[in-house]
Amino acid sequence: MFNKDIFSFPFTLDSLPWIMKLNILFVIFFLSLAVIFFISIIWIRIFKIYRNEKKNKQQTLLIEFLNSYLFDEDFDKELEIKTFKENHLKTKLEIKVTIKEILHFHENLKGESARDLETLFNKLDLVEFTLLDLDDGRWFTTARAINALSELSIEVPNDKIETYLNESRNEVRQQSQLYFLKLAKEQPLKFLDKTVRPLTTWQQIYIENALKNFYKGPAPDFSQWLYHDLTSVVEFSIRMIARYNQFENIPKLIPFLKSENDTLKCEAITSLTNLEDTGLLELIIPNFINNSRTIKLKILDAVEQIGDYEDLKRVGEQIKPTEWELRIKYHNIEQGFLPEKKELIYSQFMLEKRSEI
Amino acid sequence: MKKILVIEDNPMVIKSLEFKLTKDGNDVMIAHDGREAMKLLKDNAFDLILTDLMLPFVTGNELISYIKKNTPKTPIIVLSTSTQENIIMDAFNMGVDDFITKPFSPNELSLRVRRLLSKN
Repeated sequence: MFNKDIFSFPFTLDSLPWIMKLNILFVIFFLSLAVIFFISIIWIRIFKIYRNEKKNKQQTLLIEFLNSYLFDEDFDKELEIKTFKENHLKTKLEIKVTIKEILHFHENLKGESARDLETLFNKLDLVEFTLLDLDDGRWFTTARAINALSELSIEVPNDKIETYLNESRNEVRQQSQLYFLKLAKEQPLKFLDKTVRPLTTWQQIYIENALKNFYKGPAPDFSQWLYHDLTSVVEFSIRMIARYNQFENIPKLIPFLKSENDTLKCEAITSLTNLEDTGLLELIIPNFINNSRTIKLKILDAVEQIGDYEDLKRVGEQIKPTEWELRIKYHNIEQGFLPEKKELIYSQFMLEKRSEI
Repeated sequence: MKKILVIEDNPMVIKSLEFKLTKDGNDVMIAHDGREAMKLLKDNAFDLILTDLMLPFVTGNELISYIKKNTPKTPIIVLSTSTQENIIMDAFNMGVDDFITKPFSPNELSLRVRRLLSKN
């Protein structure tokens, strides 16, 4: 059972069998791992507390500094900026917190104070640091740097930002698009010419929003992107033509009614409907039967919005008995056109449905 | 010295308002939420109240009703991120004297505060 010769004390490591040596080795290895793991957790914790303390200290200092800079008339701006730069912008953390805090102030203030903050950002040489961040290589640092530049309306050479218009990360692409939109004095969508990656739905929403809320110049002629290589850009342009009531571009939208691409065809029907183009129904009703289900539904929408009962009947003749979704929509629209016959239409439809079932 | 109550939960906005309004020669008290504001309103009389609409515990609208019920003559300025017409209309219907949207111009705010204080 128990081999007293092996475990007689005192013993040396060499006298132990190999399996025991291996066991001891594993014990030492895992014990050291546990100790290293434990020390790392403690060290990370201490580092985090230290970092947070420094961050809070810098934030408190900045709130005081920024408020005095903005609202205190006795504040010697030049001297204080110089002192602040020399004493409180030494480490990366201090610079990062300063940029974040200036952006936070800028988000909440407008008018003269916002402009003062933009000047301060320049005077503290934070633009240089932001440009370094731009080339950092990590997507979130790049996106944050572009965001800071556009929020504070800081112009940098276009090619510096253009590089990021076709980045693999959506967030970086989005920030660079917003940069061009917010800083443009005219032609805010010029960046679309250099865009080779499709616009996501969110990007389209952000671009539209930025056009409405930040861009102050004349509205661009959206028809210049109707023949862009990307479907998403063309789709966006067709939509914007209607949103900005560019009636002069109606003839340029007509060819899209014959497009092989259902997305573009759909968008063209919607835009022409919203522009209340009287000739639209004559172009889409005769060909109704040859379209896909989505387009057929869109045509019914167009008839409902800008057509009359006669137009609807012409569409109705082309709906197959098996196309239930279209038939239901047809009858709903019919009820809208003939409110006095609402119940009759409903009961007729129910009869048709029952007999077919 | 006029006594102003600022009800706001954003620390940066609080500090800026406190700094600016104190610089303008006012005595500023801060409440970080609706509940704290109600406590201060019970123990103090204010010449003007500056409040946000989105507040913890008690909403801005509830707070405005409370102020209008207890100290109807105290002017109220709402400082909010909301630009929706119905929210602004609701606030005016409840009796607020002015509505400022964020981001705000501190100089403009200071001017509006002074105008309301001199009226009363």
